[in-house]
Amino acid sequence: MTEILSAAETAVRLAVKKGFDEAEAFATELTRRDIIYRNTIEATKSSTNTGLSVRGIVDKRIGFFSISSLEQSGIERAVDESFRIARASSEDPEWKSLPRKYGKAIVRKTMDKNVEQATGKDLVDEVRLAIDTVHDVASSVDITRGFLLTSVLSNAIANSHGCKLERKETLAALSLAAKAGTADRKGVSNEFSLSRLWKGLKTKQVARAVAQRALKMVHATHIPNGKVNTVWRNNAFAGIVDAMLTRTITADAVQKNRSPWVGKIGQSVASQGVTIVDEGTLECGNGSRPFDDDGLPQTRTPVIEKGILRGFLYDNYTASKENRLSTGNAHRDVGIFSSQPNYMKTPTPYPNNLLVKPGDATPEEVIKETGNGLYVVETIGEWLSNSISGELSATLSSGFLIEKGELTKAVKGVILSANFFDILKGKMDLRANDLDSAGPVYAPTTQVNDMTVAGE
Amino acid sequence: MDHLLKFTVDRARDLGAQYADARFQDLRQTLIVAENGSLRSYESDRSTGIGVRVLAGGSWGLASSTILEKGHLRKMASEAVRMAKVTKKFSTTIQLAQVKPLEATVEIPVRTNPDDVPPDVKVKRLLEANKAALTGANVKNSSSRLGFLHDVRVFVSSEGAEVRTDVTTSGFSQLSVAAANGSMERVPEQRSLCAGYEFIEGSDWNTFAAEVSQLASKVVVAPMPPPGTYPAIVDPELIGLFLHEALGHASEGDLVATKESVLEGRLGSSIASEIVTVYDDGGITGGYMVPFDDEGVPKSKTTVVEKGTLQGFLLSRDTATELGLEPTGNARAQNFENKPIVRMTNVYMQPGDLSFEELVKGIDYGFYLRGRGSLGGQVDVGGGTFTFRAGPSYLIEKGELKHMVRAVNFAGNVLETLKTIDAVGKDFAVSTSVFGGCGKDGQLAKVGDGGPHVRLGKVIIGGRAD
Repeated sequence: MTEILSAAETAVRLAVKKGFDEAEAFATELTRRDIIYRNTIEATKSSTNTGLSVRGIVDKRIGFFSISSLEQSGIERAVDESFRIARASSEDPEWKSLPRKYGKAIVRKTMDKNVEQATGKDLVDEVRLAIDTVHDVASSVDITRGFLLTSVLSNAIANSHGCKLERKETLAALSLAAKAGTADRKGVSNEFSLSRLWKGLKTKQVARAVAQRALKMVHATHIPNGKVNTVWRNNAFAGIVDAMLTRTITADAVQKNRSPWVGKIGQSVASQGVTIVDEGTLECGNGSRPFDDDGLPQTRTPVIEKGILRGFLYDNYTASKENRLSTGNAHRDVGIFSSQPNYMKTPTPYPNNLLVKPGDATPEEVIKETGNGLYVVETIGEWLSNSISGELSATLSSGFLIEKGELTKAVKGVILSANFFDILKGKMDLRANDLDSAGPVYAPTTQVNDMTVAGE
Repeated sequence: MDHLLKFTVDRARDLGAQYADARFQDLRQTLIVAENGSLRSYESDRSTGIGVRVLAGGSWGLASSTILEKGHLRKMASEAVRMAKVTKKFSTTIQLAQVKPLEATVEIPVRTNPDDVPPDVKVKRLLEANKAALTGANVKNSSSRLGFLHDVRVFVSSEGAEVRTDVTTSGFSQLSVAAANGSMERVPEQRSLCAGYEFIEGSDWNTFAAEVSQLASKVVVAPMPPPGTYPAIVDPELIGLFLHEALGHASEGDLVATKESVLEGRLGSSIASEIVTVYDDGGITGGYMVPFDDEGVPKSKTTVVEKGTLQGFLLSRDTATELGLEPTGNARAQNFENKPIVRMTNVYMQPGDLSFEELVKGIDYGFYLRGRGSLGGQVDVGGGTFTFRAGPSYLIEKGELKHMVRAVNFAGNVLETLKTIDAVGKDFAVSTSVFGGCGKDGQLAKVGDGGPHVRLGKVIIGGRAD
């Protein structure tokens, strides 16, 4: 048995002894390696992070405490503190039970030995490839910030109904920011590659793209106020879907009346061509896991199917409130690069891999079809949009004019706005066949018509 | 704890590190959430760990762990040195600016340690405020939070520095959602202070929470502003956010050294209108207290802009060497695990002498942008483009405040906008948040910001043309 599972079982045993009616322990071991670089390597980092949380219930009162130590004294403290908190908490009349049975789905390609066993030299070689590729495009381009990271995350969960499970997953990521031009006229660009697998890192591709775009952005300008048809690159579109949907399609948001989707199941909320599904077991998916943070199997959950709102994402608690099955969307971390280890939070529903169904054109064909408009590559501040009113607003930090179906001048600094509910209802019908991710969302390159530009 | 840190530093030196430091952290956090009149969650945690940082072969090697025993710490020290040496051939030589190694202990005074307050007392207080915000027919959701952070850090270096800091922060936040005429709006707002539970006891959170709900009810029926470029007045909360995002990040020495920042090469030149003076200060009242940074360097008041001229950058020891300047105590790490990087502490603008009315009078058609209910902002440091989400705001017409407008994004170019500041108010406020923080390179840091009311000659307002 692994150390984290044994720690989780010890915690459950102690919690029952303490007097809890039900108890659960969730334990984590995260090992991570990072290389931080610019034009040269600046630092390397390796870390081991362990921890465990205890969630205990007594008389429908819930207590929760987490601690980074897996030693007996740390576990005892977590049990004592969670008991103290539970006694002070008010009764939750909606509390039913922790899961009485855990379950596992089959997932593929979420664990890669090549990530786990990558040596310091392997990481250094990959970073050198990134740096050399950028400078092969143009020696005048500077890498202003970059990192390469590999992580191995192990989790164990156990509860007082005799359930226990373990899982292990890997992740590799490469990030690169580059600049070209002079102090007075700069072009910058950012690229990112994330994969479960070592060979999924698109190092060369990413490095070439970032350098080429930085050079083009040197000449970026504003465009005038008005309306424009836009094409969003796949990961930029995934970014706006992340900002506008991921926090409102959860059962939690709906049950608490902070979702615009309350009471709209079965209604048409998007045009017929739009299908958005949470694919909990997507092969190689960044959010794919055999079981969620409640210990329940991850599944496939249609959210919008052919324009009709079909369902929401549930964890054990929100599902038991409605006497239905969980969709396996319990998350303790919200976001892959969440700044806190995942054992520190109680579960809440959140997408696993929210996938916007792609179309069948190539991205080039979508741009060509658009004729005249704006190609959006990078935005900032899209996360500041209002997912409840649907008011979407994003500031363009890197994009290009589309003229007669071709990408021409570089553009930046304008604000693009639209109502996201209107976009769903008929402004995003043309989608490409490519998919990339931002946060938990996978989306294709997508045409979004008729956006407002605030510029000159 | 100090002996474990010294042990780790000594091991790293034995293995050939030119320099080594070790940081211990004991972090206690509590977050209590109430929603629609009932307790939603009560989460509390304690994490401890040690991180070691070594300079070997001219490059940084870092290792960290939550396992605090000697055998493990020895392995960490050797891993850090080994990795630093692996990269030797491909790294630039990092050099640390000289500082005097200090021995100090600073504890931000607290009257009531939040950990000593029984959980039921906190829950009761929170539930009361949460219910007080369920006011008015339009309000659909009320979420309230109490947050406490107790951050103890110990720093030991091979040069002989030994610094211990102890900072407690407490705060309350309210998020209200209102719906009317088929439309919904959310308004978030919070107040925090580096203080103990006395800060929670001494304030009227019921009224605070109810006011956020009233604002949400009002803004949900307000019109959108027309998109375009306008003059605007920003309040202390928003000027703080603006300076943080637009100027503060660009003044971070690492971004200047890599030439990514728009302020690169502009030291001593005019970058803002003459009425603009901006500081970064680790000890300003209302802000987040940073007496020392995570390199054991004291953080005092750094002048970034004086009367429109760029006077200084925010620096760590290595970026100070790179730029040929003195360290300013701005090397900060989210926790023991992370590499200290250049971060702001509390960035603010010095007040001027105009009243709010005088600021409004100078605008023929524009907006009064409010920070209350703002969601924050972001900047593209290299390109100089910034963007913010203001809270519910107001139209200004012919020198008078008019009706409320919906929360809007506004944007501009850092250097252009700083030059258009044409009036500075005489009021002043700086604030921080126990709930959020500033993200950079995957690390979150607690910061504060503020200033007076300020008039911007020209910003892009992203409303919607219908």
